[in-house]
Amino acid sequence: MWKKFEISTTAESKCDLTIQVVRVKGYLDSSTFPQMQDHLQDLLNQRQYNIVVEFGDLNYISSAGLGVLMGMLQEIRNQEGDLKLANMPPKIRNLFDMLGFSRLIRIYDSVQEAEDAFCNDKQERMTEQDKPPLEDSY
Amino acid sequence: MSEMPHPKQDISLEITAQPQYLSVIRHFISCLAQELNFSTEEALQLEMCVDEACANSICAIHDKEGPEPKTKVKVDILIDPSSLKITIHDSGKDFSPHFQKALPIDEHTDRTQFRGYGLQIIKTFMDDVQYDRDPAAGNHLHMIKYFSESAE
Repeated sequence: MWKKFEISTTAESKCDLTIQVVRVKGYLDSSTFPQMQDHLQDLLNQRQYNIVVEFGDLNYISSAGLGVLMGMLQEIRNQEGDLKLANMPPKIRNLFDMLGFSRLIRIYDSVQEAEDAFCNDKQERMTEQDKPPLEDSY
Repeated sequence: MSEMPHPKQDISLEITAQPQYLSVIRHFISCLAQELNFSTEEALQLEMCVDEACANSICAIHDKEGPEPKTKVKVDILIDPSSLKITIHDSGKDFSPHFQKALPIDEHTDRTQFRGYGLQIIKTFMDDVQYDRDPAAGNHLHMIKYFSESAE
């Protein structure tokens, strides 16, 4: 009867990483956010911490939807992963900007750019690990 | 030639206290905001604020009556020459502590929480927000958005 929200995930391989691309469609609000929460929690339970959420067909997001994303972001980053958003419609991007959420969560113009960013993150981590330890300065 | 100011008028809507009906209210508010020449940005803000307020009312009703409540959420809209006034009524649990605690969103807001953004968003986007509770009739959330010059 109320077909307002759809969510699906495909796993993609890039630079030896498995990236989960979650595509959402419709309205992410108080009635549909549990679907989103359960879906993302399933990925975390499978220890999948590289996640792109594709917003291209999302028409609306309420505070309940924002809460799911922001609440899970820290848990994902604690596991050295990230949750990145891509292909956001202008009105939703505008909302993220106005409320300051775009300062905390990374937003990209396309899924491709978000996936490339995961590769860059990985490269930076490897470079960081290769650095010699700092000598004691006293 | 300047346009006539918006005449004073009333609209009342009622929805069953279930979240799947929120989309109906959102669509209505979005259309109304466009009819009243609010900007696209303001229209989205109004849509979101009414959605959040009604979602709070649904929660308050469920807290009091359980998952199959009998009472409804009522939305009263008054369009006067200078503003759009929207009041959300429900007979649910008192949410004055949450209302008092919520601050408009700014650079100090903790954005790592799962919940609690709704009233903050309302206080951020609306020009004036007041809450009162009548022990007999329940919660009343009053929100005002003033017309900018371009909307008049």
